[in-house]
Amino acid sequence: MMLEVRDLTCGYGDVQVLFGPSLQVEKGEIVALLGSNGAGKTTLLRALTGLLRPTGGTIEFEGRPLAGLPAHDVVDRGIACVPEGRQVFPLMTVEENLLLGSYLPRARSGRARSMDKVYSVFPRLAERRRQAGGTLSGGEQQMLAIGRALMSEPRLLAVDEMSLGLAPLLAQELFQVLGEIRSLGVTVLLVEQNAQQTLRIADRAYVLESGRVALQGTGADLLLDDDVRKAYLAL
Amino acid sequence: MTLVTGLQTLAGGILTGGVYAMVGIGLSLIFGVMRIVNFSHGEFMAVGMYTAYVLFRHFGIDPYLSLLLVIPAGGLLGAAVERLFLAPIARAPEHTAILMTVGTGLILSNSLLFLFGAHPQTIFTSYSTSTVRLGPVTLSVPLLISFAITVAVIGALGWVLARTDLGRAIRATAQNRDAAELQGVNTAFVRTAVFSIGTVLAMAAGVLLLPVLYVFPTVGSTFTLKAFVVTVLGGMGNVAGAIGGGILLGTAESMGAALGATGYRDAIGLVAFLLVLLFRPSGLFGRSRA
Repeated sequence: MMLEVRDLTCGYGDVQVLFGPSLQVEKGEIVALLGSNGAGKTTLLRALTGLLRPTGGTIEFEGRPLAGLPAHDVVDRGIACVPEGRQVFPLMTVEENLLLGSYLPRARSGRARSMDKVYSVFPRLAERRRQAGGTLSGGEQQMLAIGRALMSEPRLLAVDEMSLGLAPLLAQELFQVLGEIRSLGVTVLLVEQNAQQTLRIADRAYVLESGRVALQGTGADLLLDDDVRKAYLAL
Repeated sequence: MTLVTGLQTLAGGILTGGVYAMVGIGLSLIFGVMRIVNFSHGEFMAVGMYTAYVLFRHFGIDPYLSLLLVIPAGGLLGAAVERLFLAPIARAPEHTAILMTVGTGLILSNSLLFLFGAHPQTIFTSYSTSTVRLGPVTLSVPLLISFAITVAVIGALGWVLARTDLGRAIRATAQNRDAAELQGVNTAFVRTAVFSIGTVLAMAAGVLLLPVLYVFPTVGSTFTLKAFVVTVLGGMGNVAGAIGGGILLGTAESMGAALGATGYRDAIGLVAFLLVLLFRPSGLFGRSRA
Protein backbone atom coordinates (compact mmCIF):
# COMPACT_ATOMS: atom_id res chain seq x y z
CA MET A 1 0.00 0.00 0.00
CA MET A 2 1.46 3.35 -1.04
CA LEU A 3 -0.91 5.68 0.79
CA GLU A 4 -3.29 4.77 3.58
CA VAL A 5 -5.56 7.36 5.19
CA ARG A 6 -7.54 6.07 8.15
CA ASP A 7 -10.40 7.75 10.08
CA LEU A 8 -9.08 11.23 9.35
CA THR A 9 -10.63 14.13 11.25
CA CYS A 10 -9.70 17.69 10.45
CA GLY A 11 -11.11 21.18 10.25
CA TYR A 12 -10.57 24.91 10.53
CA GLY A 13 -10.75 26.25 14.08
CA ASP A 14 -14.04 25.09 15.58
CA VAL A 15 -15.48 23.98 12.25
CA GLN A 16 -14.93 20.28 11.66
CA VAL A 17 -14.85 19.36 7.98
CA LEU A 18 -13.65 15.74 7.85
CA PHE A 19 -15.49 13.11 9.87
CA GLY A 20 -13.20 10.13 9.58
CA PRO A 21 -12.90 9.21 5.91
CA SER A 22 -10.51 6.35 5.06
CA LEU A 23 -8.92 5.72 1.71
CA GLN A 24 -6.11 3.77 0.10
CA VAL A 25 -3.93 4.28 -2.94
CA GLU A 26 -1.85 1.49 -4.47
CA LYS A 27 1.39 2.16 -6.26
CA GLY A 28 0.81 2.90 -9.95
CA GLU A 29 -2.91 3.67 -9.61
CA ILE A 30 -4.90 6.73 -10.55
CA VAL A 31 -7.34 7.22 -7.70
CA ALA A 32 -10.03 9.90 -7.84
CA LEU A 33 -11.65 11.75 -4.99
CA LEU A 34 -15.04 13.09 -6.05
CA GLY A 35 -17.72 15.08 -4.34
CA SER A 36 -19.59 18.33 -4.49
CA ASN A 37 -18.41 21.69 -3.24
CA GLY A 38 -17.76 21.66 0.50
CA ALA A 39 -17.63 17.86 0.77
CA GLY A 40 -14.11 18.11 2.21
CA LYS A 41 -11.98 17.09 -0.77
CA THR A 42 -9.58 20.02 -0.63
CA THR A 43 -9.39 19.82 3.16
CA LEU A 44 -8.36 16.18 2.89
CA LEU A 45 -5.65 17.12 0.41
CA ARG A 46 -4.42 19.97 2.63
CA ALA A 47 -4.18 17.54 5.53
CA LEU A 48 -2.35 15.03 3.34
CA THR A 49 0.19 17.61 2.09
CA GLY A 50 0.84 19.00 5.56
CA LEU A 51 -0.68 22.46 5.04
CA LEU A 52 -3.31 21.57 7.63
CA ARG A 53 -2.75 19.58 10.81
CA PRO A 54 -5.26 16.72 11.28
CA THR A 55 -7.00 16.51 14.65
CA GLY A 56 -7.31 12.72 14.52
CA GLY A 57 -6.76 9.59 12.45
CA THR A 58 -3.64 8.46 10.66
CA ILE A 59 -1.96 9.01 7.32
CA GLU A 60 0.68 6.52 6.24
CA PHE A 61 2.85 6.91 3.15
CA GLU A 62 5.02 3.99 2.07
CA GLY A 63 4.56 2.49 5.51
CA ARG A 64 5.62 5.55 7.52
CA PRO A 65 3.33 7.98 9.36
CA LEU A 66 2.86 11.35 7.69
CA ALA A 67 0.30 13.25 9.76
CA GLY A 68 1.73 16.27 11.57
CA LEU A 69 4.76 16.73 9.30
CA PRO A 70 5.14 20.27 7.92
CA ALA A 71 4.39 20.60 4.21
CA HIS A 72 8.02 21.01 3.11
CA ASP A 73 8.90 17.66 4.72
CA VAL A 74 5.94 15.91 3.08
CA VAL A 75 7.29 16.97 -0.36
CA ASP A 76 10.66 15.59 0.63
CA ARG A 77 9.00 12.25 1.39
CA GLY A 78 7.81 12.05 -2.21
CA ILE A 79 4.34 13.60 -2.42
CA ALA A 80 3.98 16.60 -4.75
CA CYS A 81 0.85 18.70 -4.92
CA VAL A 82 -0.78 20.68 -7.71
CA PRO A 83 -2.89 22.99 -5.56
CA GLU A 84 -6.37 24.27 -6.29
CA GLY A 85 -6.22 27.53 -8.24
CA ARG A 86 -2.77 26.53 -9.61
CA GLN A 87 -0.88 28.94 -7.28
CA VAL A 88 1.99 29.59 -9.67
CA PHE A 89 4.38 32.31 -8.51
CA PRO A 90 3.04 35.22 -10.56
CA LEU A 91 6.14 37.45 -10.62
CA MET A 92 8.60 34.67 -11.40
CA THR A 93 9.28 33.35 -14.86
CA VAL A 94 8.11 29.94 -16.03
CA GLU A 95 11.67 28.67 -15.70
CA GLU A 96 12.05 30.07 -12.16
CA ASN A 97 8.75 28.44 -11.16
CA LEU A 98 10.09 25.12 -12.41
CA LEU A 99 13.45 25.60 -10.70
CA LEU A 100 11.59 26.18 -7.45
CA GLY A 101 9.82 22.88 -7.96
CA SER A 102 13.24 21.23 -7.68
CA TYR A 103 14.25 23.28 -4.62
CA LEU A 104 14.77 20.18 -2.47
CA PRO A 105 18.40 19.06 -2.32
CA ARG A 106 17.45 15.52 -3.43
CA ALA A 107 15.81 16.94 -6.60
CA ARG A 108 18.53 19.45 -7.54
CA SER A 109 20.93 16.99 -9.11
CA GLY A 110 18.32 15.83 -11.61
CA ARG A 111 17.13 19.36 -12.26
CA ALA A 112 18.16 19.70 -15.92
CA ARG A 113 16.79 16.27 -16.83
CA SER A 114 13.47 16.93 -15.03
CA MET A 115 13.11 20.25 -16.81
CA ASP A 116 13.67 18.68 -20.22
CA LYS A 117 11.03 16.10 -19.36
CA VAL A 118 8.52 18.80 -18.33
CA TYR A 119 9.22 20.80 -21.49
CA SER A 120 8.71 17.70 -23.63
CA VAL A 121 5.33 17.01 -21.97
CA PHE A 122 4.34 20.71 -22.23
CA PRO A 123 6.10 22.32 -25.22
CA ARG A 124 4.01 25.46 -24.58
CA LEU A 125 5.96 26.03 -21.36
CA ALA A 126 9.27 25.84 -23.22
CA GLU A 127 8.07 28.57 -25.59
CA ARG A 128 7.20 30.78 -22.64
CA ARG A 129 10.10 29.93 -20.35
CA ARG A 130 11.11 33.62 -19.89
CA GLN A 131 7.55 34.87 -19.33
CA ALA A 132 6.22 35.72 -15.86
CA GLY A 133 3.88 33.07 -14.43
CA GLY A 134 1.14 35.64 -13.81
CA THR A 135 0.93 36.52 -17.50
CA LEU A 136 0.10 32.97 -18.64
CA SER A 137 -3.41 31.84 -19.58
CA GLY A 138 -5.33 29.69 -17.11
CA GLY A 139 -4.52 26.51 -19.02
CA GLU A 140 -0.83 27.35 -19.28
CA GLN A 141 -0.73 28.11 -15.55
CA GLN A 142 -2.23 24.67 -14.91
CA MET A 143 0.48 23.11 -17.07
CA LEU A 144 3.08 25.07 -15.14
CA ALA A 145 1.66 23.94 -11.80
CA ILE A 146 1.75 20.30 -12.93
CA GLY A 147 5.27 20.69 -14.37
CA ARG A 148 6.47 22.38 -11.20
CA ALA A 149 5.12 19.51 -9.09
CA LEU A 150 6.90 16.94 -11.31
CA MET A 151 10.21 18.77 -10.81
CA SER A 152 10.42 17.42 -7.25
CA GLU A 153 10.56 13.84 -8.67
CA PRO A 154 7.49 12.71 -6.71
CA ARG A 155 6.26 9.15 -6.37
CA LEU A 156 2.72 10.37 -5.63
CA LEU A 157 1.18 13.35 -7.40
CA ALA A 158 -1.87 14.93 -5.72
CA VAL A 159 -3.84 17.11 -8.12
CA ASP A 160 -6.59 19.43 -6.82
CA GLU A 161 -9.42 20.60 -9.13
CA MET A 162 -7.29 20.51 -12.26
CA SER A 163 -10.12 21.06 -14.73
CA LEU A 164 -11.78 23.93 -12.85
CA GLY A 165 -12.25 26.93 -15.14
CA LEU A 166 -10.61 25.32 -18.15
CA ALA A 167 -12.08 24.91 -21.62
CA PRO A 168 -13.37 21.31 -22.04
CA LEU A 169 -10.93 20.49 -24.82
CA LEU A 170 -7.96 21.67 -22.76
CA ALA A 171 -9.21 19.79 -19.70
CA GLN A 172 -9.42 16.63 -21.79
CA GLU A 173 -5.84 17.17 -22.96
CA LEU A 174 -4.63 17.52 -19.35
CA PHE A 175 -6.49 14.37 -18.29
CA GLN A 176 -4.55 12.55 -21.00
CA VAL A 177 -1.31 14.03 -19.64
CA LEU A 178 -2.14 12.56 -16.22
CA GLY A 179 -2.30 9.17 -17.93
CA GLU A 180 1.16 9.79 -19.40
CA ILE A 181 2.47 10.81 -16.00
CA ARG A 182 1.21 7.57 -14.51
CA SER A 183 2.97 5.62 -17.24
CA LEU A 184 6.19 7.37 -16.17
CA GLY A 185 5.75 5.62 -12.84
CA VAL A 186 4.07 8.32 -10.79
CA THR A 187 0.96 7.40 -8.82
CA VAL A 188 -1.86 9.96 -9.09
CA LEU A 189 -4.46 11.07 -6.57
CA LEU A 190 -6.95 13.25 -8.37
CA VAL A 191 -9.45 15.52 -6.63
CA GLU A 192 -12.17 16.61 -9.02
CA GLN A 193 -15.67 17.92 -9.51
CA ASN A 194 -15.66 16.88 -13.16
CA ALA A 195 -16.76 13.32 -12.35
CA GLN A 196 -17.37 12.01 -15.82
CA GLN A 197 -13.94 12.64 -17.30
CA THR A 198 -12.26 11.74 -14.03
CA LEU A 199 -13.95 8.33 -13.78
CA ARG A 200 -12.86 7.50 -17.34
CA ILE A 201 -9.18 7.66 -16.43
CA ALA A 202 -9.37 6.63 -12.75
CA ASP A 203 -8.76 3.04 -11.67
CA ARG A 204 -10.76 3.57 -8.51
CA ALA A 205 -12.69 6.44 -6.96
CA TYR A 206 -14.05 7.60 -3.64
CA VAL A 207 -17.08 9.86 -3.38
CA LEU A 208 -16.91 12.21 -0.43
CA GLU A 209 -20.07 13.63 1.11
CA SER A 210 -20.14 15.95 4.15
CA GLY A 211 -16.68 14.85 5.20
CA ARG A 212 -17.33 11.09 4.94
CA VAL A 213 -16.76 8.49 2.24
CA ALA A 214 -20.24 7.90 0.80
CA LEU A 215 -19.29 5.56 -2.04
CA GLN A 216 -16.27 3.83 -3.42
CA GLY A 217 -15.48 1.54 -6.32
CA THR A 218 -13.69 1.18 -9.60
CA GLY A 219 -14.00 4.03 -12.05
CA ALA A 220 -15.97 1.88 -14.48
CA ASP A 221 -18.43 0.67 -11.79
CA LEU A 222 -19.12 4.15 -10.48
CA LEU A 223 -19.56 5.47 -14.00
CA LEU A 224 -22.37 2.91 -14.52
CA ASP A 225 -23.89 3.23 -11.03
CA ASP A 226 -27.34 4.80 -11.17
CA ASP A 227 -27.01 6.67 -7.88
CA VAL A 228 -23.69 8.17 -8.91
CA ARG A 229 -25.01 9.11 -12.32
CA LYS A 230 -27.97 10.91 -10.77
CA ALA A 231 -26.18 12.57 -7.88
CA TYR A 232 -22.80 13.46 -9.31
CA LEU A 233 -22.86 13.20 -13.05
CA ALA A 234 -26.21 14.87 -13.69
CA LEU A 235 -27.05 12.22 -16.33
CA MET B 1 21.46 77.95 -7.40
CA THR B 2 24.26 77.80 -9.95
CA LEU B 3 24.84 74.75 -12.10
CA VAL B 4 27.91 73.79 -10.07
CA THR B 5 26.16 73.92 -6.70
CA GLY B 6 23.27 72.08 -8.30
CA LEU B 7 25.56 69.27 -9.44
CA GLN B 8 27.32 69.32 -6.10
CA THR B 9 24.04 68.96 -4.23
CA LEU B 10 22.82 66.23 -6.56
CA ALA B 11 26.01 64.22 -6.11
CA GLY B 12 25.87 64.55 -2.33
CA GLY B 13 22.21 63.52 -2.37
CA ILE B 14 22.86 60.44 -4.47
CA LEU B 15 25.74 59.33 -2.24
CA THR B 16 23.64 59.68 0.94
CA GLY B 17 20.66 58.17 -0.85
CA GLY B 18 22.61 55.01 -1.56
CA VAL B 19 22.98 54.37 2.15
CA TYR B 20 19.30 55.22 2.71
CA ALA B 21 18.52 52.63 0.04
CA MET B 22 20.46 50.00 1.97
CA VAL B 23 18.45 50.72 5.13
CA GLY B 24 15.22 50.78 3.12
CA ILE B 25 15.88 47.52 1.25
CA GLY B 26 16.19 45.67 4.55
CA LEU B 27 12.84 47.01 5.73
CA SER B 28 11.26 46.29 2.36
CA LEU B 29 12.55 42.73 2.18
CA ILE B 30 11.30 41.98 5.70
CA PHE B 31 7.90 43.43 4.88
CA GLY B 32 7.67 41.61 1.56
CA VAL B 33 8.32 38.18 3.03
CA MET B 34 7.09 38.44 6.63
CA ARG B 35 4.33 41.06 6.22
CA ILE B 36 5.85 42.77 9.27
CA VAL B 37 6.74 46.45 9.43
CA ASN B 38 9.93 46.30 11.46
CA PHE B 39 9.77 49.29 13.81
CA SER B 40 13.11 48.33 15.31
CA HIS B 41 14.93 48.63 11.99
CA GLY B 42 16.62 51.95 12.77
CA GLU B 43 17.65 50.70 16.20
CA PHE B 44 19.58 47.85 14.56
CA MET B 45 21.31 50.53 12.52
CA ALA B 46 22.23 52.31 15.76
CA VAL B 47 23.59 49.02 17.15
CA GLY B 48 25.74 48.74 14.02
CA MET B 49 27.04 52.30 14.53
CA TYR B 50 27.94 51.66 18.16
CA THR B 51 29.60 48.35 17.33
CA ALA B 52 31.86 50.07 14.80
CA TYR B 53 32.37 52.92 17.27
CA VAL B 54 33.59 50.58 20.02
CA LEU B 55 35.79 48.63 17.62
CA PHE B 56 37.39 51.88 16.46
CA ARG B 57 37.76 53.53 19.87
CA HIS B 58 39.03 50.55 21.83
CA PHE B 59 40.68 48.38 19.22
CA GLY B 60 41.58 50.91 16.56
CA ILE B 61 39.77 48.96 13.86
CA ASP B 62 38.87 51.06 10.85
CA PRO B 63 35.06 51.34 10.50
CA TYR B 64 35.05 49.99 6.96
CA LEU B 65 37.19 47.06 8.00
CA SER B 66 34.86 46.43 10.96
CA LEU B 67 32.15 45.45 8.44
CA LEU B 68 33.87 42.06 8.31
CA LEU B 69 32.85 41.58 11.96
CA VAL B 70 29.58 43.52 11.93
CA ILE B 71 28.06 41.59 9.02
CA PRO B 72 28.27 38.12 10.62
CA ALA B 73 27.35 39.56 14.02
CA GLY B 74 24.30 41.25 12.50
CA GLY B 75 23.30 38.01 10.84
CA LEU B 76 23.38 36.16 14.15
CA LEU B 77 21.61 38.94 16.05
CA GLY B 78 18.85 39.17 13.44
CA ALA B 79 18.36 35.41 13.36
CA ALA B 80 18.21 35.25 17.16
CA VAL B 81 15.66 38.08 17.42
CA GLU B 82 13.47 36.44 14.77
CA ARG B 83 13.64 32.99 16.38
CA LEU B 84 13.03 34.26 19.92
CA PHE B 85 10.53 37.08 19.43
CA LEU B 86 8.93 36.91 15.98
CA ALA B 87 8.65 33.21 15.08
CA PRO B 88 6.37 32.47 18.07
CA ILE B 89 3.89 35.11 16.88
CA ALA B 90 4.09 34.32 13.16
CA ARG B 91 0.41 33.39 13.03
CA ALA B 92 -0.87 36.08 15.43
CA PRO B 93 -2.82 39.17 14.26
CA GLU B 94 -0.73 41.90 12.61
CA HIS B 95 -0.71 44.36 15.49
CA THR B 96 1.09 41.80 17.66
CA ALA B 97 4.15 42.10 15.41
CA ILE B 98 3.98 45.91 15.59
CA LEU B 99 4.08 45.79 19.40
CA MET B 100 6.86 43.23 19.31
CA THR B 101 9.13 45.21 16.99
CA VAL B 102 8.44 48.51 18.77
CA GLY B 103 9.31 46.75 22.03
CA THR B 104 12.49 45.24 20.57
CA GLY B 105 13.50 48.72 19.38
CA LEU B 106 12.92 50.22 22.84
CA ILE B 107 15.02 47.51 24.47
CA LEU B 108 17.82 48.09 21.96
CA SER B 109 17.89 51.90 22.24
CA ASN B 110 17.66 51.82 26.04
CA SER B 111 20.44 49.24 26.24
CA LEU B 112 22.58 51.61 24.15
CA LEU B 113 21.63 54.47 26.47
CA PHE B 114 22.62 52.38 29.48
CA LEU B 115 25.94 51.35 27.94
CA PHE B 116 27.05 54.57 26.27
CA GLY B 117 25.11 57.45 27.82
CA ALA B 118 22.96 59.96 25.97
CA HIS B 119 25.58 62.33 24.61
CA PRO B 120 26.30 62.25 20.88
CA GLN B 121 29.67 60.80 19.97
CA THR B 122 31.68 60.63 16.81
CA ILE B 123 34.87 59.14 15.52
CA PHE B 124 37.56 60.90 13.60
CA THR B 125 39.49 58.99 10.95
CA SER B 126 42.29 60.28 8.77
CA TYR B 127 39.86 60.55 5.88
CA SER B 128 36.78 61.87 7.72
CA THR B 129 36.97 65.31 6.15
CA SER B 130 39.00 64.55 3.02
CA THR B 131 37.50 65.15 -0.36
CA VAL B 132 38.20 64.43 -3.99
CA ARG B 133 37.49 66.79 -6.87
CA LEU B 134 35.65 65.49 -9.89
CA GLY B 135 35.68 68.42 -12.35
CA PRO B 136 33.87 71.25 -10.59
CA VAL B 137 32.27 68.92 -8.01
CA THR B 138 33.84 68.11 -4.62
CA LEU B 139 32.94 64.73 -3.12
CA SER B 140 33.44 63.54 0.45
CA VAL B 141 35.77 60.54 0.55
CA PRO B 142 33.94 58.63 3.32
CA LEU B 143 30.62 59.08 1.51
CA LEU B 144 32.21 57.84 -1.70
CA ILE B 145 33.61 54.74 -0.01
CA SER B 146 30.25 54.14 1.69
CA PHE B 147 28.47 54.46 -1.63
CA ALA B 148 30.84 52.01 -3.30
CA ILE B 149 30.31 49.47 -0.50
CA THR B 150 26.55 50.02 -0.66
CA VAL B 151 26.55 49.32 -4.39
CA ALA B 152 28.57 46.15 -3.82
CA VAL B 153 26.29 44.93 -1.00
CA ILE B 154 23.08 45.69 -2.89
CA GLY B 155 24.55 44.08 -6.00
CA ALA B 156 25.42 40.94 -4.06
CA LEU B 157 21.93 40.82 -2.53
CA GLY B 158 20.38 41.31 -5.96
CA TRP B 159 22.42 38.42 -7.31
CA VAL B 160 21.36 36.16 -4.43
CA LEU B 161 17.70 37.04 -4.91
CA ALA B 162 17.76 36.62 -8.68
CA ARG B 163 20.05 33.64 -9.20
CA THR B 164 20.24 31.33 -6.20
CA ASP B 165 17.90 28.73 -4.75
CA LEU B 166 17.70 30.70 -1.50
CA GLY B 167 16.81 33.86 -3.43
CA ARG B 168 14.08 32.09 -5.39
CA ALA B 169 12.76 30.60 -2.14
CA ILE B 170 12.65 34.09 -0.60
CA ARG B 171 10.75 35.55 -3.54
CA ALA B 172 8.40 32.58 -3.68
CA THR B 173 7.64 32.88 0.04
CA ALA B 174 6.84 36.58 -0.46
CA GLN B 175 4.48 35.78 -3.34
CA ASN B 176 2.66 32.74 -1.94
CA ARG B 177 3.71 31.15 1.32
CA ASP B 178 1.65 27.94 1.07
CA ALA B 179 2.72 27.32 -2.52
CA ALA B 180 6.35 27.79 -1.47
CA GLU B 181 5.90 25.18 1.28
CA LEU B 182 4.47 22.78 -1.31
CA GLN B 183 7.74 23.06 -3.27
CA GLY B 184 9.70 21.96 -0.21
CA VAL B 185 10.65 25.43 1.01
CA ASN B 186 10.89 25.66 4.79
CA THR B 187 9.22 29.07 4.99
CA ALA B 188 9.88 29.45 8.72
CA PHE B 189 13.59 29.20 7.89
CA VAL B 190 13.16 31.69 5.04
CA ARG B 191 11.57 34.19 7.46
CA THR B 192 14.52 33.84 9.81
CA ALA B 193 16.97 34.25 6.93
CA VAL B 194 15.20 37.34 5.65
CA PHE B 195 15.08 39.03 9.05
CA SER B 196 18.73 38.18 9.44
CA ILE B 197 19.61 39.71 6.04
CA GLY B 198 17.52 42.81 6.85
CA THR B 199 19.35 43.24 10.15
CA VAL B 200 22.72 42.90 8.41
CA LEU B 201 21.72 45.60 5.93
CA ALA B 202 20.61 47.97 8.70
CA MET B 203 23.73 47.39 10.81
CA ALA B 204 26.06 47.69 7.81
CA ALA B 205 24.37 50.97 6.84
CA GLY B 206 25.00 52.18 10.40
CA VAL B 207 28.69 51.38 10.03
CA LEU B 208 28.83 53.22 6.71
CA LEU B 209 27.24 56.32 8.21
CA LEU B 210 29.46 56.41 11.30
CA PRO B 211 32.31 58.39 9.67
CA VAL B 212 29.91 61.17 8.66
CA LEU B 213 27.29 61.18 11.40
CA TYR B 214 27.08 61.65 15.17
CA VAL B 215 25.91 58.56 17.00
CA PHE B 216 23.54 58.66 19.98
CA PRO B 217 21.21 55.98 21.40
CA THR B 218 18.04 57.24 19.69
CA VAL B 219 19.64 57.98 16.31
CA GLY B 220 17.79 54.93 15.03
CA SER B 221 14.26 56.31 15.30
CA THR B 222 14.92 58.94 12.61
CA PHE B 223 16.24 56.18 10.41
CA THR B 224 13.31 53.85 10.99
CA LEU B 225 11.23 56.73 9.65
CA LYS B 226 13.57 57.31 6.70
CA ALA B 227 13.64 53.61 5.89
CA PHE B 228 9.85 53.64 5.96
CA VAL B 229 9.76 56.63 3.59
CA VAL B 230 12.21 54.88 1.24
CA THR B 231 10.11 51.72 1.32
CA VAL B 232 6.84 53.50 0.62
CA LEU B 233 8.42 55.57 -2.16
CA GLY B 234 9.63 52.37 -3.76
CA GLY B 235 6.45 50.38 -3.11
CA MET B 236 6.07 48.20 0.00
CA GLY B 237 8.00 44.99 -0.49
CA ASN B 238 9.49 46.07 -3.82
CA VAL B 239 13.23 45.65 -3.27
CA ALA B 240 14.36 47.24 -6.54
CA GLY B 241 12.00 50.16 -5.94
CA ALA B 242 13.68 50.83 -2.59
CA ILE B 243 16.91 51.73 -4.42
CA GLY B 244 15.07 54.43 -6.37
CA GLY B 245 13.29 55.50 -3.18
CA GLY B 246 16.58 55.87 -1.30
CA ILE B 247 18.26 57.94 -4.01
CA LEU B 248 15.13 60.07 -4.34
CA LEU B 249 14.97 60.77 -0.61
CA GLY B 250 18.69 61.56 -0.40
CA THR B 251 18.45 63.93 -3.35
CA ALA B 252 15.26 65.62 -2.13
CA GLU B 253 16.82 66.22 1.29
CA SER B 254 20.08 67.69 -0.01
CA MET B 255 18.26 69.79 -2.63
CA GLY B 256 15.94 71.14 0.06
CA ALA B 257 18.88 71.90 2.32
CA ALA B 258 20.73 73.68 -0.52
CA LEU B 259 17.67 75.82 -1.20
CA GLY B 260 17.87 77.17 2.32
CA ALA B 261 15.72 74.76 4.29
CA THR B 262 18.53 73.06 6.22
CA GLY B 263 16.45 72.81 9.39
CA TYR B 264 13.65 71.14 7.46
CA ARG B 265 15.80 68.34 6.04
CA ASP B 266 13.77 65.55 7.66
CA ALA B 267 10.47 67.34 7.01
CA ILE B 268 11.17 67.34 3.27
CA GLY B 269 11.37 63.58 3.24
CA LEU B 270 8.09 63.30 5.13
CA VAL B 271 6.34 65.70 2.74
CA ALA B 272 7.50 63.55 -0.17
CA PHE B 273 6.20 60.52 1.75
CA LEU B 274 2.74 62.07 2.26
CA LEU B 275 2.49 63.15 -1.38
CA VAL B 276 3.31 59.65 -2.58
CA LEU B 277 0.78 58.14 -0.17
CA LEU B 278 -1.87 60.55 -1.50
CA PHE B 279 -1.25 60.09 -5.21
CA ARG B 280 0.54 56.75 -5.65
CA PRO B 281 -0.38 54.61 -2.62
CA SER B 282 1.34 51.54 -4.10
CA GLY B 283 4.63 53.43 -4.55
CA LEU B 284 6.33 55.32 -7.35
CA PHE B 285 7.47 52.21 -9.12
CA GLY B 286 4.20 50.47 -9.89
CA ARG B 287 3.66 47.01 -8.45
CA SER B 288 3.60 46.58 -4.72
CA ARG B 289 5.15 43.20 -3.95
CA ALA B 290 8.56 41.62 -4.17
